[in-house]
Parts: sequence; C-alpha cells; structure tokens
Amino acid sequence: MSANPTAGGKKPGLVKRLGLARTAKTLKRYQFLFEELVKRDFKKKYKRTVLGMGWSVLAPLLQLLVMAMVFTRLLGRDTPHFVIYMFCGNLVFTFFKDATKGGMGTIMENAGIFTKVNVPKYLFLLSRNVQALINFGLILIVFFVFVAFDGLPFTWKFLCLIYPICGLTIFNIGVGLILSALYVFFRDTQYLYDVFTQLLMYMSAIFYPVTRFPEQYQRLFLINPVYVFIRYFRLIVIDSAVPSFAYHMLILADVAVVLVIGCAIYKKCNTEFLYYV
Amino acid sequence: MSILEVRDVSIRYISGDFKNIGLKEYVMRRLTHNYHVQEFWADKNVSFTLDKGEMLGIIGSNGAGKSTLLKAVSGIMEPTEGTVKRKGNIAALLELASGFDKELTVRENTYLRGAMLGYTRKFMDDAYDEIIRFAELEDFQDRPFKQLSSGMKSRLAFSIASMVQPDILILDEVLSVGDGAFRARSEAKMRQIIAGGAATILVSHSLTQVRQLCTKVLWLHKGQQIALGDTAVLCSLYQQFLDKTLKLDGAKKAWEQLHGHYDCLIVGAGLSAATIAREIANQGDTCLIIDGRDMQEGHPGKKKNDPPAPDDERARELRKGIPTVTGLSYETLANAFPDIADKVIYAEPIGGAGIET
Repeated sequence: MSANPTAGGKKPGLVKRLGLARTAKTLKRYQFLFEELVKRDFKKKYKRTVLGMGWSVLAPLLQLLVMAMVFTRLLGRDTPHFVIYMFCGNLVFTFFKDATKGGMGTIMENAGIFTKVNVPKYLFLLSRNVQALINFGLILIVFFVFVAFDGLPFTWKFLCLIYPICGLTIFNIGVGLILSALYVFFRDTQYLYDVFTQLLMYMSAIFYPVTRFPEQYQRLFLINPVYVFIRYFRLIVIDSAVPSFAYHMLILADVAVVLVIGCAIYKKCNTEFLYYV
Repeated sequence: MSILEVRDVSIRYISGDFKNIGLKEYVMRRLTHNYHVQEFWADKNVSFTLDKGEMLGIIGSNGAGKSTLLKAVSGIMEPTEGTVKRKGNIAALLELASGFDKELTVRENTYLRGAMLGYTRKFMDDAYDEIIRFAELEDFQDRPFKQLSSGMKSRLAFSIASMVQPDILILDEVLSVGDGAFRARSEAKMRQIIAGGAATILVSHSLTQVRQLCTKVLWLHKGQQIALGDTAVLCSLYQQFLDKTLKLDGAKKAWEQLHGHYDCLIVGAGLSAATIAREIANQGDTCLIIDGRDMQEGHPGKKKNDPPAPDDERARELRKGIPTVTGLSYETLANAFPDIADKVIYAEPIGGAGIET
C-alpha cells in the first residue's frame, strides 16, 4: 500500500488512459444500474437506524470529541488550532477507511448478482465509493463550520482542496480494487487490513503534531499517502498555504501507482472471481 | 449467419489450489507432500449454433454442466477453451429467485433487476406497472422482498426479464415457476418472444415442455456432449435413459446408428420383425429395426424388471448384429431422418407384415 512515488512511469499511464476511456463508455451504458446500486447501498446502510444519515456526520464528530478530550492536553498544547488539526486528519482518514473497508467486501457481497447477470463487477465497488464520497461531503460541511467557528479565514485557496479530494477518491478506488480482489481469494485480508488500518492511523499523525519529531524524520511521513492527503488539507486550511508543485506531483504519483496496480489485479482476476465466491 | 455460435467450449473448475485452500492449508499440504490441484471439467468440447426463431433445449441429469454452459453463453463466465460468439443483446434468466436483495422492497428490487438486465430508467418507468401486473404482485409493491413466497419471487423475476425483446433468451428452469395459471401465461409470453424472432435456450427437466417448445435438443452428460439434434428422437432416447432401459452407451450408439443409411427400415419389436430383419441381413442388405412406440414422459414402456416375453430370447438372438433403436415411432423417425432407408417394413407382432417403399 505504501506507494512508491517514483514508479509512475510512462507505460502505466498509457494503459490507464486506454482503460479509462473504455470504462467511461461502460459506465454510461450502466448508468441506470449504477444509480440503483448507489441507492441500494444507501438504503441498506441506514436501514433501521433512528438517525439515518445523521450517523455519517455524528460518528466522526463523536470520535473527534473523544480525541479532543484525550489528546488536546497531552499532545496539542503548543499546536495552534489543534481541534481543526485533528479534524483534518480524522476527516481524511475516515473517508479513506470508510471507502476501502466498504470496498473490500463488494465483490463477495454481490456474488449473488454477478454470478447470475453479466454486469461489470467494479460497478459495485464504485457505488460503494460514491456512498463513501457523499458521507465525506457531509462531514466536510461540518468541518467547514468548525473552521469558521475557529476563526480561520476562508480564502480562494480552499478551492485547491478539490485536488486532494479527487485524488483521494481515485486513490480509494484503487485500494478498493486491490482489496476486493484479494478478499475473494484470501478471506484473511479483512483481519490483516484491520490491523493495517490501525497501524496506518497511528502513522498518519492524526492526533499528534509531526513537529514533535526531528526534521529529518518528518519527511518519512510522506511515504504514507494518507498522510500526504491530510497534510495537504492542513496546509490549506490552517496555514493558508498552497503546497508546492512537487507535492501535487507526489499525490498524482501515489494515486496513479495504486490505481494502475488495482486495475491490473482486477483485470487479471476478473474472470476468476466466479470460481472462488 | 447464426445468432449464437458455441464452438468447442470447455469449462474447467479447479479446486484445492492455493487460492482455494488458503495459506495455512497450502503450507501444511506442501510440508506433508499432500498438495494436489484437482481439476474438474464441467463442460468438455460442447458445440452448437442457434438461429433466429430457434429454440434449443438442453437436457441432462444433475451435474451435466447445463447451468455452467449457460453461464458461458451469457458471458458471465469465460470458457476455459473454445469460443462463444453472440450477436445482439442477450437476456439470461438463471436461477431466477436468487440475486434479489431481500432487504429492499419489491419496487426497489424490480428497478434494480431491470437495471441489471440493461433496461433504461425510462423503460422501467413505463414498464413497471405492467411487470407488477404480470407478476400479480399489486398488493406487495412496498413490502420487503424477504416476505415474498418463492413462487412470487420467481414470478417477479420472470416478469421483469420477459419485458424486453432480446435477441437471445436463456431460460434455466424458469418455465416451471408459479402456479398453473401463471405457468400457462408465462409459456404464452415465451412463445410470443420466440415468435418475435428471438433465439432461445431452455434448460428444463420437464421433457414434455422440451418436446412442446424446442426445435432442437442438446444432451449433456457429465460435461460431455452426447447428442445434438431432433427434439422428439432425443427426448425419446433420453426418456429411456432416465427409465434405465437404455444405457448411455446404448443411447450414443443408437444416435450414431440413426445417422446411417439403410436399405430397409423395419418397424416392430417382436419376433416377426427380428425374423424379417435376419432374412434381409442374410441377403446382404442393411437394415435398421425400430420398435414403433414413442417413448414419452409417463409412457409405461418396458421397465427393467418386467418379465421377458417368451419370444424375447429368440428375437434377440435373431437381431444380433443388426442395428436396433428402441422407443421410436416411424413418424418420429421419418420426421427427423427422412432419408434413413429406401423402404419401410411394418412387422406386426401377430405376424402380419406390410411393406411400404
């Protein structure tokens, strides 16, 4: 998962572009199915809950509250806007975790459908990602409310956030492609991934400032793509600074590598899933 | 040009490989030198073509590879070997009642299934009422799907799938859903679709249905293609195979023999037919004996444990070396193989024989 930013060469880029054009065509053909799947995922997620979609917002807020109570005193005394700092981390990480963990099971869960009807299996993954994206959007709104309350200025630079949001969405799809394929063949994936996300959470500097580490170690955090996204948010929102061009390229490389690996695995295994579900 | 062309399709299942047994088992078996990958051919070298307006029935006992073959035809599965060429859109109704989401309502499921079958939203909006009416589920539209009976589920699935005018329609055990009244209506609907120029594949365990609907039949057994051809003849042979009066080899041989050309065709199973056949054979002419009774589903026929008729032993002695096919009437045979023989002899059991050229 820790993508190597140097491996985004020419060839995969071309493969990706070709694949995307075809995918776009298929998506158009299956647009109706896609909409219905998104609808289904939503209905199923909030079935029999009193608050319904409210939970999408409430759950991360409660999490944030807990973190604020525990860590503000401990770790964040010297960091300005520490709640927003944590919220940035939580926001991005929740989106990542929500989308990828949900995406992991999509092929298995929909086995009943694609073993009977010939539909592209990645539709299920995309639909789950759309759901995660909408959830993310809701939390993002709350996030901006928090930002306003904290007295941070809204500037045109906030528009730059579109870049990491798009990047993260595609990154999640890429990871989802890898995980959903692995999960069909190795059910152990879900347990391993739980451990992995836990580790990743601690390594993403969500509730502690990176500045507590020596300068040379701070750069190591950039190996973790999730941290790269989190830092982008923090730079824009808290520091009101647009990251460098190289930083944008780092995100692009991370996304490209994961997506290409995901597509390759998916393409290779596409016809095999049927035998193992 | 055929609308559907299946050539030498083979499908292999693998079990016991790394992905199947998991890492722990894999290491354990490797260490104990017990690691084997088993392969299983669900279908082996199956070929057929289908034209517009034709209906192919696939028969065969459980595990014959029928459903797997349909999955390859409908594109859900890639054949391990061989090719499937299809023209036009395809609607596959496989194991109907499954694949619905039991948490969603009937309405939501209808739309979802319609979307899966490639309908547009506009089409579904227009057709929705008709679908519900055809499935007789007007009072259940907003009920959760899990509250429906299995018959209702199948009825809904059939109604949705039959809305479209597909070029290729695949039906796996779907005409036997619902009660009598619905069955009659679904068959009528089916005929309407077929008449509209669709090529249809029907998998059914009801031979009566296959006889009524299909224009040709594919017989599979344990993945092997036993025969492909005339409905009445193959249904008759298959019925005898089911009744255990005919072994698989016997059926294969009979099917082969029916493709030959003979100087003389003798209709009748008794001693007189055998005597005539022996005489003709001794003259050096070739002949084929059929026993003149069509073997239908529910036909009493000759059972394995029936006591042998007194003359049976002698008749069998006389028939030795002469091709004999049981369970076929002359009409059925002549319909399927009009050029099989130059002349026909009716050998009545009592002894009176008639000759027809």
